[in-house]
Amino acid sequence: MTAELALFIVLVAPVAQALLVIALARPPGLRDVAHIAGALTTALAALYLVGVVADGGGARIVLARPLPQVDLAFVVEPLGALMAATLALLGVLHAAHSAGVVRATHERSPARLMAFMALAAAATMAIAFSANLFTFFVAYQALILAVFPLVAHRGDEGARKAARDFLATLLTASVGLFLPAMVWTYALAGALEFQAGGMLAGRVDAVTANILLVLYVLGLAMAATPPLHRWLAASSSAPYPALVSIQALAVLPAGAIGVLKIGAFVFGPALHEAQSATRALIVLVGVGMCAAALIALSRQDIRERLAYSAMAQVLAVTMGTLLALPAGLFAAALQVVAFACASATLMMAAGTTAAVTAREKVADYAGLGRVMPWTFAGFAIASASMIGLPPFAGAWAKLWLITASAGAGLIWAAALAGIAAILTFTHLGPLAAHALAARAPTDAFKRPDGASILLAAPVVLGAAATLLLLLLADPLASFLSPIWTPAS
Amino acid sequence: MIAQYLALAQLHAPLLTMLIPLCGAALAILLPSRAAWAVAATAALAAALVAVDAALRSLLPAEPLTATIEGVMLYADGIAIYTAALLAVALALVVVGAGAFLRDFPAPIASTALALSLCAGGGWIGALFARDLLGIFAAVEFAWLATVGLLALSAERGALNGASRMFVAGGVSSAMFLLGLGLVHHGVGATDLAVLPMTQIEAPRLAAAGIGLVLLSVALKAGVAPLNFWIGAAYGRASRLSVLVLGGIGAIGALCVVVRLASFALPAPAIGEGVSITLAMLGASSVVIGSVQAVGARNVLRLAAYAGSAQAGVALLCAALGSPAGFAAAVVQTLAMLVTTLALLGGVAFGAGGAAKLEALDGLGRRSPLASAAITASAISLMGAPLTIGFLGRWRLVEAGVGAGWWWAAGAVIVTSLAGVFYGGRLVERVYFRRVSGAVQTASEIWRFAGAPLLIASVCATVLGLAPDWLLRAADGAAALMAGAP
Amino acid sequence: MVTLDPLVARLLLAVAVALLMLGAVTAWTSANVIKRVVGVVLACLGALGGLAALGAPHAVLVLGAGAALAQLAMGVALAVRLQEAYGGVEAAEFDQADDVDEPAEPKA
Repeated sequence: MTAELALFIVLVAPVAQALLVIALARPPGLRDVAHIAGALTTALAALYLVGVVADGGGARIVLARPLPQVDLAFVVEPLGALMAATLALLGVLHAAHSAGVVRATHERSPARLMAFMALAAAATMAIAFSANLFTFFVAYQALILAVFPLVAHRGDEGARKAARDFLATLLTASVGLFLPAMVWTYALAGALEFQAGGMLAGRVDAVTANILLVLYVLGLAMAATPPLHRWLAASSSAPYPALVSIQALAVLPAGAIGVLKIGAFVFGPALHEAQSATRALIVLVGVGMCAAALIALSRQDIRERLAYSAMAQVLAVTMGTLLALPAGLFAAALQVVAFACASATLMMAAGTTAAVTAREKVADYAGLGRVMPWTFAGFAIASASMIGLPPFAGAWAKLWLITASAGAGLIWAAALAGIAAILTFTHLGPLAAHALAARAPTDAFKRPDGASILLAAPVVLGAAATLLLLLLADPLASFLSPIWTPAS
Repeated sequence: MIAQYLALAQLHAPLLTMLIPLCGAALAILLPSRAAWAVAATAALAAALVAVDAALRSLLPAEPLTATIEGVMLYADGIAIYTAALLAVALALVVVGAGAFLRDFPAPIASTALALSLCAGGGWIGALFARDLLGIFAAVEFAWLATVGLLALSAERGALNGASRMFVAGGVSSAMFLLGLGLVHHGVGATDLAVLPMTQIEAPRLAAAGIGLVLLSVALKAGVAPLNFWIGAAYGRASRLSVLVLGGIGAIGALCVVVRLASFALPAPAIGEGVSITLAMLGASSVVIGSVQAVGARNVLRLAAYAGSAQAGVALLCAALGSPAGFAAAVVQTLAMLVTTLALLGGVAFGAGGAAKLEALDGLGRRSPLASAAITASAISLMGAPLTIGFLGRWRLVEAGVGAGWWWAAGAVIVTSLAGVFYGGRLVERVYFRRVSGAVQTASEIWRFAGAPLLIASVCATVLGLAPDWLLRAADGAAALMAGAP
Repeated sequence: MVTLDPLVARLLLAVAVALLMLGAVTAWTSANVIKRVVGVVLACLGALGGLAALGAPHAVLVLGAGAALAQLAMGVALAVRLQEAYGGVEAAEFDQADDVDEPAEPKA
């Protein structure tokens, strides 16, 4: 298999998966097999591409030339390959888990739900492998449109309102802020192609760089940078499988990947020109991280708590990128990987709990670990990773982030990251401990026979992934090094 | 023998594009409704074929049509060839689709409605090929009165109210055009458009005022804001056929005439700058006002009309640049406006039975997948989503605008797209994420499939942004052949 | 062609423009359909007067007169149809009857 073919498969397999799921909606067994097989195909192709990059190879495919001198193109490079492989592998677990959840909860229109999750995965892969700003923008818009039906899936007035908020916030930001920045960049650089070392490096003055950076960072509302973060909590009324896509595998990671790509491939060293904006944005995201973690503590609905917790995590990616140092970029990339693993595990565990016990309030979680030990073991491990406890994946990302902040001379940024970690501990630590240590509940569950293997296994495997990253920190650093040390 | 006739037809393509619909109209009005429809559809398809053939022969290689001496003062410049082809194709799709609407009219009136539709199309095409202002005036009046007449044939009395508003707007705009024509004649010494770019204008202020009046007059008929006070009443309760003719033929035809007039006036050194400023102001105000009106609209037909005003504003901004790149962008944007208008109005007419209220779209995705696809395609294009024709048109404006230092033009694009997010998103939400309240009657007769070509064509055209090479080449060819010597 | 004295021509042009504007304002603001038709015809007459004052060719004048006649015919036909449909010729009555079916939208 050539790298080009693998790249094509990564992009097309989720779309085929969506079509198959719709075509094979009944019987459910066939539908679920198509859903999981599609995710598996994507993951295998993405893993192959990681191997290609590790061997020093690459690939580029051009699907169309919709504008003069601008291609709809995809390229295999280390950052995109790592992100795609991580999200695609987690996507396999998510596919199995969502098959279990829709069966356990008798979800309405499960095939539609699965199909749009697959389309969201396709758009996320396209974002990860986008070769230029235009392709990124296309994939970003496609992701918004693919996730919109997921948020509206319940079909009631609340869901419709959440979907409208989602669409309005993300599209308005992308059209009102990101698009002008893209046009401006095109006018400055004469091209939109991503370049290691930054396409704006040496082409932009300080004022322009500051304005452009603000436009880009706020325009990527998927990264939940305040004040454009409200869509995240509003969308938490979506079904659990959709929430895994939104918070862990598609929307938030896509925002994070976008910030990373803008930092590494659009600005590069030109970030130093935008010092005022970087400082202001670091303050914004740092305070945002702490505030989100604090708000999470006040939320009693597990979906809302996890939404704000995820927001605090994804803001750390923006902080790392804005530090404008290789160590910061690496911290940000590692944070995306760690956050995706932990957040997907947490949300899948919450989905399993809701499917089995119909419990969604934090207070109702007490003692559930005694009757659902595997699920809550996974929940606890993922919580530890979100908090940043060693030896889980999140610890390395936060350590790098704090080190990079200190290296940039921003001790206060390191302090903000530390405070956010402590606040994350306060909203996740006691919750996990209570679930594992309190007395088991005595009232009957919705499904007395407990969680099926489809509901429990993905949570356990997701938790295991957060441990696996312990071994991968160093190889990942060398794998990602080309994004900040471009070949001349 | 046949080859000779075909060669003759090719030679006189502009005249035939204009005359075939008019002959079809004359024949259709004499026949019973279904026979009239067959004749009208044949005539419209023939005109479209001739026009598209002329466009392909002329625009892609950027070579002027070899002979255009008709004895009736026609001039086939690039913009006329391009926009006439658009209009002819739109007319063919609308008239073919009209097969589904014939029951909306009592039997003898259906033939008249078809004939008036063809007259409107033929009139606007004639205005596009007319060589001098007098011809343009006659053709525009003909097309406009045909559209007013068509609107007045609608079964609902509200449409009559709309027709009366249209009549007033058109009457006053005719007076403005006439006065403008007189001023141009007095200032330039001729009303021949082809001499405008190269002549020494004796009284530039009079000529500029005259051209300004003429442009405003036709812009009013295109529904450009703030001159679009009549469109709410006209679109709001129009019958299915008249709303398609009004939006897909009338508004587009008038906009094309404005763009073409600008292509003659802007190169004229004495008046070019004034015309450019007028068009830019008109375009910017139309973008802003049209967008705000569309966001506030609760009637889907009016929403289409107001969204059209915003889109027309973008086209005017493109034209205001005055450069070949600007005019190439303007014709691409005109196509974008045509496609989104036809897709939205067609989706409503064929899928929702022409119902005007937004609520009529609730749950349409289940009842009428093709019409829903068309409405969605239109909505996404109105949002300016990349890879759609809507994005392409706006991007071309940005490219041309940035090249000319008109940075603020990008702002107009952003405003259009942002507003499009709101009203386009609302359309998509209603179509796919709402359930219909109460029972809905759906037409089951075979004639409803007459709308399929229009819907399929508009959906396909929406994604032209994916591979727009030939389209951009044709637009560049149109710009290269504009305002040349006859 | 008759050549007018420049002063007379200017005066005639001013009167014509005034007539056009008067007609336009009448057509746009009048609540009565008949008055609207009269307004449109006045505007057209004003435009024709302007053309004459500006020394436009006969062809333009003839075409303009034809267009004015067409407008008049269309206007009268519409007025008759409106009278039949609404039982009156006042625009307020039409709007009121239409608003019963559908509330007005916010103005831009």
